Amino acid sequence: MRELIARLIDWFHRDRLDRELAEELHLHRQLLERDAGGLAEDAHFVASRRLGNATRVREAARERWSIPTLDHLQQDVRYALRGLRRSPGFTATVIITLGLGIGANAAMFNVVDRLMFRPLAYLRDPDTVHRIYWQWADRGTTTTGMSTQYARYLDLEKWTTSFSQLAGFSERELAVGEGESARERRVGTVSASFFEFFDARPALGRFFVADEDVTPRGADVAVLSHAFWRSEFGGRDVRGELLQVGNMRATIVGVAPEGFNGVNDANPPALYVPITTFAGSTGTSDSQTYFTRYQWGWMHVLVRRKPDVTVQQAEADATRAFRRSWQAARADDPAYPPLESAKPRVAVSSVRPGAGPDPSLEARTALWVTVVAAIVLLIACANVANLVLARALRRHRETAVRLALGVSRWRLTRQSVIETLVLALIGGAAALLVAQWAGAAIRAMLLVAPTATSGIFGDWRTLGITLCLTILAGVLVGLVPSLLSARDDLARPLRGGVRGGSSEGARLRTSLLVVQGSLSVVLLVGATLFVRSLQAVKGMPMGYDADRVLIVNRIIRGIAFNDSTQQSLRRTLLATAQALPGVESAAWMSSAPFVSTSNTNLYVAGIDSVARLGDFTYQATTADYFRTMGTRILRGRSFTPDDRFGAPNVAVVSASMARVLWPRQDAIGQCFRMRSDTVPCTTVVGIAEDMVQRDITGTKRYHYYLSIDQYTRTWGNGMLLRLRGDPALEAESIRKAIQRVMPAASYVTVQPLRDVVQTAQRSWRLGATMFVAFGLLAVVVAAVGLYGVIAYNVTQRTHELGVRVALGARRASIIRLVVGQSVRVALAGVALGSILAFALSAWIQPLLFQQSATDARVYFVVATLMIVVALSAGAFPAFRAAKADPNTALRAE
Amino acid sequence: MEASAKRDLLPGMLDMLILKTLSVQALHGYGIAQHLLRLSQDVIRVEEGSLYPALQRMRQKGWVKAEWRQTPNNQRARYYEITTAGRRQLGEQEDGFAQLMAAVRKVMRHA
Repeated sequence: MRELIARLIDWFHRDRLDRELAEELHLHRQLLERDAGGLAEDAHFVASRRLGNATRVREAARERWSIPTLDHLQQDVRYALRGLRRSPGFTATVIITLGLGIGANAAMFNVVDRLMFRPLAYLRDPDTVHRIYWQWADRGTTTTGMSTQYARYLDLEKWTTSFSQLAGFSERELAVGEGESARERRVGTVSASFFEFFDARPALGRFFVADEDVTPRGADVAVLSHAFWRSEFGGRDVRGELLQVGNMRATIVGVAPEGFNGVNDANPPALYVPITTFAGSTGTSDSQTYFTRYQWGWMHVLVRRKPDVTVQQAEADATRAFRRSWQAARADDPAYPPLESAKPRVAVSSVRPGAGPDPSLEARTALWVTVVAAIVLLIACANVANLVLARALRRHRETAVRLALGVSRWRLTRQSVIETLVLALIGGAAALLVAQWAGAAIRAMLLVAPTATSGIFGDWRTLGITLCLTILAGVLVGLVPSLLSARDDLARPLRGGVRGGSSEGARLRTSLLVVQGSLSVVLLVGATLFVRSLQAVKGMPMGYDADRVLIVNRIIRGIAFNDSTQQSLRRTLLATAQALPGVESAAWMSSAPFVSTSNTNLYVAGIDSVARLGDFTYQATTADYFRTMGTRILRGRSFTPDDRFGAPNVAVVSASMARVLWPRQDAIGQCFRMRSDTVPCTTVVGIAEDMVQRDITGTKRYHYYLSIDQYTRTWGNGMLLRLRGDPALEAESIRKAIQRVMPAASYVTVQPLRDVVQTAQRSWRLGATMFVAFGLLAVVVAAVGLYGVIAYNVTQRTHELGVRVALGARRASIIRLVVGQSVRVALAGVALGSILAFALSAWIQPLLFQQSATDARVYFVVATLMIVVALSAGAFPAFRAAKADPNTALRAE
Repeated sequence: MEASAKRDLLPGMLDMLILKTLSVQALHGYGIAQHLLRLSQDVIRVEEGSLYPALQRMRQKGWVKAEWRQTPNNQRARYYEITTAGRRQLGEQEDGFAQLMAAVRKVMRHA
């Protein structure tokens, strides 16, 4: 091995080694002459004789650093580079085509890998580590969730035998630090056992231990992430320092090693605290009951399977525990649905939710886009194969001559493969640039918080895949023309002259064109479907006008959580906001659309089970809420300051809710009861238009609003402001103005509602953008291919066309002849592509919104576009052919 | 004398002789050849055609190191030096050679 490496190193220095050997031999001869003494001439003769044939010696030594395969390879590469330099147009087209094709795939691999496959840093034995997914039936549909209660986590630990390790974890945005330096940070609240899943040793101090993670409340300790330690503490010894984390005043006990991201490397926590410390310090009633009651589902569970337990066995075991736990929860709270209808079960699956049983729409879209990228690469390869083929045919005679002169077919094949490999490698380099640039855009759309280190360069997995794709594409494309030439008969091209065409090549190339065309059709159909889908999403009445609304969240620290402080703060903040010149109106709220909603059991006279009708969600707000959101009150009234505590409870309901609960009746004045059927009525005083709260595509918009003064469970946590100007521009000045009146260490954060809505629309936007980009790319590539082949055919048929013109064919008929060929190819592509797209429609349907995947209009539009493209691709060569002088064509040989 | 010089060395023996020579001191190619010639009293005459390829081979195997230096007569020459791996190799070859010679001697005595 060592010798082989030495040989390889020597091979690179072979010119120097040759020189040194010559010098060595020269000295040898000199010394021989000197020692032989006597007459110089005589000595020279003796020396020469003794030294023997200098060339032979040199050859023998030189063998030590020559590697024939490498020598040939080098020759072939040089030959290929020379050839490519001679045809820059061809070279550029191929490199760009492959660069785009491979680059798209590299970028998508990078994203999908991050979402689904990449092993987490430091995770020991990743194959045995799983996240727990809870599944149950809810009104006939299976719901999959990752969140659960701490009590259930304890049940799972108690009642299963399949797992050697379990840990609960959750991530929260909490205010970290004090005063000016206080910022919202991602905080990992984790079991002490969490760290034992990893082979990580603290960079400083220690992780927390089981004694510090106990119910009802763990110890006030924190472990910093390496990045947070570096950026905020400059990497100094922070052990023993105190840090304010939310309501906890934690002692820093250690620092995680560099690159340790827990189970979330897309958006890693800045620090970790014991899960029980966080749960026990929330300041709500949950902090006393979280480990005994099943009310607060807020954390995920990580498990390690024992080595002899299969995933199926583990799932069966965990499902038994879940069912037992479900019964326990039902004994505690009779509102829990019965076991028979809920059919709870557990899935023991990937730590990465993207590869779990219920991947997010982003993950599913990413997979789809990857398929699309692969199709684009196929089109690109077909196109490049076509170009290479055309080039090979142009060199037909050269090849035949070389074969006739005795160059082996193997050598020719190797040369052609090496030529395309060289092209592919340059294309691969271009692909990395494409991936780096396009990838940043894709990641920004797909990954919630792209980390700073998410570039392509330095990511070995992506680089490896890119190299594999590059070589695969190079070999694939390079083999096609050589297979063709291998079948050829030697003599024919030698006899044929310029007129000799190869019908076989033409057939192969036409089929490649049809394949390209049909794949383009598939992508264009996809693109059109997604664009229409996005239009539908955007055109959906949201029930509010998000453009000028700013969400203000207030985070309370350092003052007591009681009614009087909360209510006086609310009044102060509302008054401050309303007094700002940029604010049109302001409302207090319990939550905003897409942020969160609440729900509870409803009781309505005459309806057995309201829950069976669907989810009814609510928000608690103040009087100006509807004006601020831009939601119309269809009938009745909004809240007034008179709807306060002590006055009769009132509600505004959505139009859909009014329709479903009181069909054919006037909803105004109707009564419903919340939480129990014995409490006083909540009277409907108004009907608002339907509002999209969390699920854009949902069809049931059952939502109601309560007056926050009558609603005692929460104080509400923020404001909605309708601004006079653009929220993006004014957000910061408004934040500063409101911050001034915040008491103690409390603070506010602001976010335009528009951003929240756009995030919710992201997957459709992503699908539309990606399909359109790739679809257009595919069409351009296919059009270039079509044009290239038609133009090449015209050149090949110059003689024939010349004869036709000489015999009196009119220009129009020549044009028709050439363009007809192009259109025929396109039609075949449209036919084949439509069938393909139709076959795929079932899979794409779930990603669409209010758009049938088999919409005939979409197919028609795409077909028209393809034919137009084919007409234009054929037109240019056709006109050139028609204008050609028959004399030149006929005299050519 | 000329006839004996053309006698072939056993395979591998040249390497051993060169390594042995270099184990005393670093030498250039011509120096090695002269050293072998002198010690063997003109019996072992190493042809350049075997010497230089052998040196290159041993360099690639990591048994010797090569370095350009000035000779006492102020000429530039490539000096070869034995490495630790080379000494290990020399030890093995000497053992093998001793066994072989013993075996040959036994055969010659009794056959």
